[in-house]
Amino acid sequence: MSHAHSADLTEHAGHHGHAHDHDDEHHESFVSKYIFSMDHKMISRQFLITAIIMAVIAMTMSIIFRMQLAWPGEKFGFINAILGDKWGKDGILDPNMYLALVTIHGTIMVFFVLTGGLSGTFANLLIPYQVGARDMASGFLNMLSYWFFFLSSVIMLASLYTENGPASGGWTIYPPLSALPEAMPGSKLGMTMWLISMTLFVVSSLLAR
Amino acid sequence: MVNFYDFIRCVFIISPLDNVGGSPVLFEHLFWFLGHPEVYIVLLPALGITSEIISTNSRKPIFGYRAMIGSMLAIGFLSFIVWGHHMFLTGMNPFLGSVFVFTTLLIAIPSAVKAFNYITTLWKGNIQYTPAMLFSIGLVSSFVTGGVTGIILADSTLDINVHDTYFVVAHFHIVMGLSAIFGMFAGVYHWFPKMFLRMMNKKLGYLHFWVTFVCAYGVFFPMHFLGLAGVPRRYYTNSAFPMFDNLVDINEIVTVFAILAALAQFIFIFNFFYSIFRGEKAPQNPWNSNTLEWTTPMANIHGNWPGPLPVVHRWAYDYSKPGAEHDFIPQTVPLADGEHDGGGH
Repeated sequence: MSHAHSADLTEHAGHHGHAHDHDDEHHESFVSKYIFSMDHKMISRQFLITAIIMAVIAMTMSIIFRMQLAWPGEKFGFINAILGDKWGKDGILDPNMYLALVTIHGTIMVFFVLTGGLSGTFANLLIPYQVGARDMASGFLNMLSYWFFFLSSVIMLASLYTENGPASGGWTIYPPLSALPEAMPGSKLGMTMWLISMTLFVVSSLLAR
Repeated sequence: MVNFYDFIRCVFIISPLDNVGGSPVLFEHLFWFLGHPEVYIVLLPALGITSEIISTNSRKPIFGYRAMIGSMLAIGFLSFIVWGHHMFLTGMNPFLGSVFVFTTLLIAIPSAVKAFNYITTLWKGNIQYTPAMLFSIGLVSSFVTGGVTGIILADSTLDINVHDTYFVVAHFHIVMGLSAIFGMFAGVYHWFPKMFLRMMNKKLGYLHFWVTFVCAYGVFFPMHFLGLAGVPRRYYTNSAFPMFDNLVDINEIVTVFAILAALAQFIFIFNFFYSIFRGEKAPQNPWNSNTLEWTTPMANIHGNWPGPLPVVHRWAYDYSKPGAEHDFIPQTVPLADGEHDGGGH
């Protein structure tokens, strides 16, 4: 796969070496250019923009639990607006949701922003450029890497909407808090989804990046 | 059939606890054997980005090139044998604890080599204060500030007093969180012209840096005092503990700075998305950099270079080379007669 791909690129560059004003877009659809791209430059941009979105979400979480720490028991309308009556009744952060937010803030920041976002963006962008290569060795695995990362991000965010809330045992998920479903609400479906999400994240890291 | 626990017992020879079927302490060992290298996976790319940006914007070769590479390798290796410093209170053998104290303190050596080499690269350089450069220098600052508290936490006798308090939260947010996010911002400001073919707004970049930098220290510096006073992390509220009542003000200060820091990020987000569509068109080599990525056409084409691949003749750090016409010589320029390559090969 990777050999065929790079051979194709070389040939391509050889044929069109002098006529490059048209940007090489003649055989690319929107999907192959922006969605399922195998180009290291596009994949690095995909990682960066995904990481920015995840960072904004995790940053908002930190503001919510910082409000509780600074002014415990005070009512904030925006907490109710974001979390609803279940987790932010009357604008007071629910204690279980506090633990969940601390956990998911840590998980997203460590794995999705600073690992996936940082290495995913700059390793993909700079390694082919700075070693003088036409692309990563296997563009297909590189594309899969991004989409496993995307899927794992979606599952992590979806766990926020489960009935008992997301994983709440801290980003280090020490047992027994994380291991026993009855230990805390977040250790039920939320913890399972956390594990599924992290498994996909590890698959993404192993494929590329 | 061999179960996972027996397998681990074979690998580690001894069992952490005689508790067939897994144990919380075994989980902690495995978790931190992943988790500690993971924090260096986060930090090392940020340090690499910083090395490139500080050298380019100081218009000087990176100081101690080989020592920098050696330190990166040393940090990478040491990160695998220090995981026990997260677990001084799990009841591990105190002798084993002191081994982890030793290996952890060893990391201070390559870290200090890197910090000093960044400062000596800046020394007497023709410093270009781009937003990327400011974030890189910010990284060096937070790396040192957080590293100093790392020395305290690495020592088991000192760590016991502040274990699982806000001191730890302050330490890892500064040394890993801030350093890595500053490295990421630096990388975005520096390579944005390459990624999106347009320039980001410099003035908004300066505003973003200074508000972020001041507020980030405003958030995490006071947390050291909370931690030294014993305030535990991850607690929903401390109102049940009268001894912490006089620390409420510190929590309020931290939260106010956190809100300001969060708002400042919207400057960045606006600048980022606005510049993708409306930014000034980027020149070929906006930072007068030597590395190969600036020799590709500003068009994001497949295969990166339209013709044959470029040939590298020199290392990446020929900035302000005595006798040269410009203060940078791209890697694709052949060596002149009698000229020595800075990389030493």
